[in-house]
Amino acid sequence: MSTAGLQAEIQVTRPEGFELDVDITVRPGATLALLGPNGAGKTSVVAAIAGLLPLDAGRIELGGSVLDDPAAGIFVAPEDRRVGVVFQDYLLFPHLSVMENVAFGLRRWVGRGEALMGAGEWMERLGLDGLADRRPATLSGGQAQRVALARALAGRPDVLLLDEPLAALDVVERARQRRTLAAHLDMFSGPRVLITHDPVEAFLLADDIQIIEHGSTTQRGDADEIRLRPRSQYAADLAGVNLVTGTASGGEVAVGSHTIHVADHQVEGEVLLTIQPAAVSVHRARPSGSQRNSWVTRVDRLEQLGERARLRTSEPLPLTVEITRAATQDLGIREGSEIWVALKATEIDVVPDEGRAGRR
Amino acid sequence: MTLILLLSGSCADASKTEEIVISAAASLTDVFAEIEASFEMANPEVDVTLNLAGSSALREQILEGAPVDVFASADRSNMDEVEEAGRLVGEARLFASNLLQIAVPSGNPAMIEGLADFARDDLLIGLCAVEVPCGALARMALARAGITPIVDTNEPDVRALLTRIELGELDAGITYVTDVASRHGAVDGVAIPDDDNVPAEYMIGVVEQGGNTDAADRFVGFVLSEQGRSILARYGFTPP
Amino acid sequence: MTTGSSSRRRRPHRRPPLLLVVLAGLGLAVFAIPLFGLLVRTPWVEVPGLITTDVVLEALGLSIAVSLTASAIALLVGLPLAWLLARVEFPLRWLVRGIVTLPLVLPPVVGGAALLFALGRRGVLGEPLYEATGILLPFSVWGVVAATTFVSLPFLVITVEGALRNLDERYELAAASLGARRWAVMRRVTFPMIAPSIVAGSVLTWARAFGEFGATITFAGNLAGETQTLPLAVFVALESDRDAAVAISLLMVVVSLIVLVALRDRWWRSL
Repeated sequence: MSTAGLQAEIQVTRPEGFELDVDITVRPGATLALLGPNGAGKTSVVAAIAGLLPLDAGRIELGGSVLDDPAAGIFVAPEDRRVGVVFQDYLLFPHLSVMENVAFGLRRWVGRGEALMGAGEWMERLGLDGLADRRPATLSGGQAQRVALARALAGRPDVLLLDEPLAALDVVERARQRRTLAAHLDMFSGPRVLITHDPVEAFLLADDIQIIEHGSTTQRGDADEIRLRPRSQYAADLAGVNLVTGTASGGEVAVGSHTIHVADHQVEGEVLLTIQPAAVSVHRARPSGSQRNSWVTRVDRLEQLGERARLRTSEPLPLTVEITRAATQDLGIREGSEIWVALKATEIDVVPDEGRAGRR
Repeated sequence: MTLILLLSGSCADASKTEEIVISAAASLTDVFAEIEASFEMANPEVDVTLNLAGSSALREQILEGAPVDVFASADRSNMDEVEEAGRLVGEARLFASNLLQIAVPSGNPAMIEGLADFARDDLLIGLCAVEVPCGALARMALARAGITPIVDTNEPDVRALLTRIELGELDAGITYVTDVASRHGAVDGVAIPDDDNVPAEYMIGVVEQGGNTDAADRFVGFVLSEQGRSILARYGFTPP
Repeated sequence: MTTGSSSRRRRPHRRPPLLLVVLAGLGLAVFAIPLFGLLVRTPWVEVPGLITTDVVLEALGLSIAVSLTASAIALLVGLPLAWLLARVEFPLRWLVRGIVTLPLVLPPVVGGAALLFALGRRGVLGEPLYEATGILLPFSVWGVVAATTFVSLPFLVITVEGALRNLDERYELAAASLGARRWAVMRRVTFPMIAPSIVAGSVLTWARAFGEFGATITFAGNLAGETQTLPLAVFVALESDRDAAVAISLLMVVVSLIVLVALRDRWWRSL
């Protein structure tokens, strides 16, 4: 197993006209989660790394060797790459036993007897003892997932690719398998790429998260980075924060016809504002105090979530606001109520909106 | 002229009140087609249908109860069986003879000269299956000549044998004189000496189960008449 | 528990609709009636004597040998052909598929005639072959094999092609990602996964080969011990000895039943 990790510049144009342009870098021992809406191109990234989808341009390098480089005329066939894949519906060979499935990838290195022994070891490590002679059709979802993982790992790969490994499981099972999957991933010392649409899974299992939308990367960072400073609506929706676009000039950001004051006076042009729901305060009358931003609005929606309440304000700037349940009762707030909201300039995170600026 | 008359004859379907089925041996295919046409011209109210096959197959059909009016067999034994089963009306009559002849592809490429060639292993030889009259007679002729043939195929009927010879797939076979004549140009004949030759005797009889004994009688009468005989002679059959 | 006379008791098992049963019965009759006719006509006492004659035993041996050989050839060339048709997009693929299906539609005698024109002694290919090598298919057992393979091969190709097209190709991709090369993928994943269909196709092929008549008699001729298979023996026997014909027919039915029943549901389900 090498130590150089995975570096890939993936450019592919699918026949339906979809263009994929994504760069991936993963260190050995690290897990990168690819997060994004359906059809964003995540599975294509994995397919390209596995060799099932040739690049149109770019380069894939794994452990120091080049797997795909159209410009240089290099393309290594999938069966010659050392890539372990856990497919979305596992694709366990139905005509082989669990043991034979796990041993399948080992057969490229060793003979039958040794392959079965190696398979046995991996099955033990992943808690699959006693399932050796079973057929895949008789396994539970969680068991099948682990067998698929064992099969991928047993083949001695240099990189591990997992395509929505827990998507086929029900909610309860998924929560349980998440923890074990984290432990199992740690048994592999190479780089790992995990595709998921579940942000919790990404946050829990990955060291880095890369958000892919419409064929390109919109954000890359660790879990906190994504959560606190989302750069796209999708990311913001994941994190549950407010994401507002506007044009900044000298500390004032024009959002439609409304103006927001921010603490950063340097930033100019197209910007993304991140506003945490808990940073917005609610009043029954115009508030006094230091906050630079306050305006009157109405309550469009009100949700009680235990001790908290989430409400959605309407024009001039719809925001998701979080306050205590007690507060809603004290203030007598219901849907349709007129309220004042206040927001400190220092509570607003401002970043230049490269996406919009680039897409002129 | 004859053609137009024939067509007008068969188109006047409204005038056809009687139907008869003639089961005739395969080797009678061509000659009976003309006999049918001539008979229908003289008897426009009768519709004749020809059922052609090997004599033994025809015999089987009659014994199983097929609604046949006339049976024309290429040998006595098949007719005898039908007679013994009581299916005939009246007696069977001998109406023609046919001699055997060696048939070879046009141009006689293997240069067959006589029955002796039938013992050659390097040639492709065909006979009719022994179960059909043509095959039985052929083997009798060969026995008379003292030849043990080396056969490559026993065709189920004489027409199939003839076709193979015509195509050049066989070097020689034994068929009837009439068969060779019918494929004039495509098949050549080599004579079999009279001493070895075994004439086939063609019998004709009226069968009861067809249901149209009257018209059947007229047909048999036609075959045995001057007109019938001259048609038969033209095709190579010898008079009884 | 029951609420009163106005409610009906639910039957646990519902009988199938009457019309369906009647029509199905007619369908069964199509098979059963001829078989019944055969059994009634059988001269039971004479059967053992009739089927142990040299002619019949020779024909039986020939039929079995030829049908098995034809099935083996069908597997050898049919599997690759099926794979090509199912997996590779080549020009005129639709035409090739049509040609492969042709023997199913053609009357067997026409097939035999076509073989004669192509591979007979004066055939388009047969003549040069004969001149050069002295090999002649008609009148030899290999001619029977050729005719039989011609009519039965389509069964295998069509069955296997259907199975391959229904197979999820991603299993093969998974195998490739695990390091298996193309032949290994075929050997260890593709063909094992469609094995039931291959068996079913082979059985159909064998059954068709065993019963082949028209193409055989037209192309290979009829000679006891060389080209006279059981169906030909029956046909010739019908001319002279009805009892023998019936006995041989019965023999064919018994042999076929033995094979098909031995495989029971296993092959039927995979069609």
